[in-house]
Amino acid sequence: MLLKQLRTKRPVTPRPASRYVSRTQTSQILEDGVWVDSWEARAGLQTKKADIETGEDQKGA
Amino acid sequence: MTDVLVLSNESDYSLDRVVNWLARNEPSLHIQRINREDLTPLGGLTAVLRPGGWSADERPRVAWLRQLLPGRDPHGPSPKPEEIDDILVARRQWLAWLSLIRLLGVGWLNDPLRVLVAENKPDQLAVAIRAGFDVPRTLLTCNRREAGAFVADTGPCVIKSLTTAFWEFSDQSFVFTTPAEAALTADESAWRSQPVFIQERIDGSEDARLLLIDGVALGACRPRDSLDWRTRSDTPWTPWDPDPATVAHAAAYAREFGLEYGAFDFILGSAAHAGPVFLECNPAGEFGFLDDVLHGEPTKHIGLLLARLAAERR
Repeated sequence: MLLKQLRTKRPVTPRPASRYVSRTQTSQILEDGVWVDSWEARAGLQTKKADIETGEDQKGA
Repeated sequence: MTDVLVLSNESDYSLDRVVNWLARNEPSLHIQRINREDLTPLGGLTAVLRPGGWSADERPRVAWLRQLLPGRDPHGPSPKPEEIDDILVARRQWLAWLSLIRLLGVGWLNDPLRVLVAENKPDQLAVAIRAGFDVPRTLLTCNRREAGAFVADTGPCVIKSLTTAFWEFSDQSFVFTTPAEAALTADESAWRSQPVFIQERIDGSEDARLLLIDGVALGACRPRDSLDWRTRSDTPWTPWDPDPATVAHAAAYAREFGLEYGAFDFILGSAAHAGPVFLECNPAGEFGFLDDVLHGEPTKHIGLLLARLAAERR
């Protein structure tokens, strides 16, 4: 299979310690022992695109 | 009553931004976020078939599909075959279930049925040309000889998959855009096993992404330092102001596919092309990594779009 010969693998970056807050319906990230809202996190978190087929496009992580 | 139903997962940090924006700026809207980690709330969307069609006690005004469908844990071990089957079977059921949202009269931020067509790369390139974009010379083939002749005629080329080529359940490897010349050394049986795109290689100065959100164009670009920018995530993005013609082409493209949101990718600064060269448009392309660069405008305009769609169904 040609595509199989062309594929590459990127390392999966470690998952940050996170928790989902039901009240706000958003997540927090643990940074320096403090829970911060994900959009305030220094790590520059990226999520994958919402591809209907796979939920994946290898962007970022 | 739920105004905005969002279907995703607990690690969707881009969605966090929109949910937070809506809570602060549209406090009258009732937002319900359902994550694949706990699908219990979807029990409220149990539907009964009646002579007039499907009916449910609860019906949101608008829905936004992010990442509800089941998948493997990218941080966990490779699943066993029976576990893979479980994921694939459940995924197909939820994919079919998405039609219920439309059948109940709920609005979509990008109807998944339209997204399925709009994610298809052969469709994308055909619509892009009709919309007025400059599109690279492209061959679609599973024939190595034809591919070789195209490369000989065109010059340097790249090879691309027709849709996401991701080995999700084994080693999570992925096919990025790669030089076509090396692929021409593969044997013919390998070529016959699937179709691929052979495309003119665009040597430009920058990669660009344009987010088209309800007619609003937001652009960002970064120096072009690889054939596929997804392989180099450390290169910084800066705002990019797309020219009016590019925005008009994007609007025409979105109209033809019936999209309210799209993430267009271009190459800028090609000596062989007058303006931005269209690569693809992902109808569910990510925006979160550009949100800070664009001062929160993507989040704001997605929030405004969801609020508008919900208001239209009040």
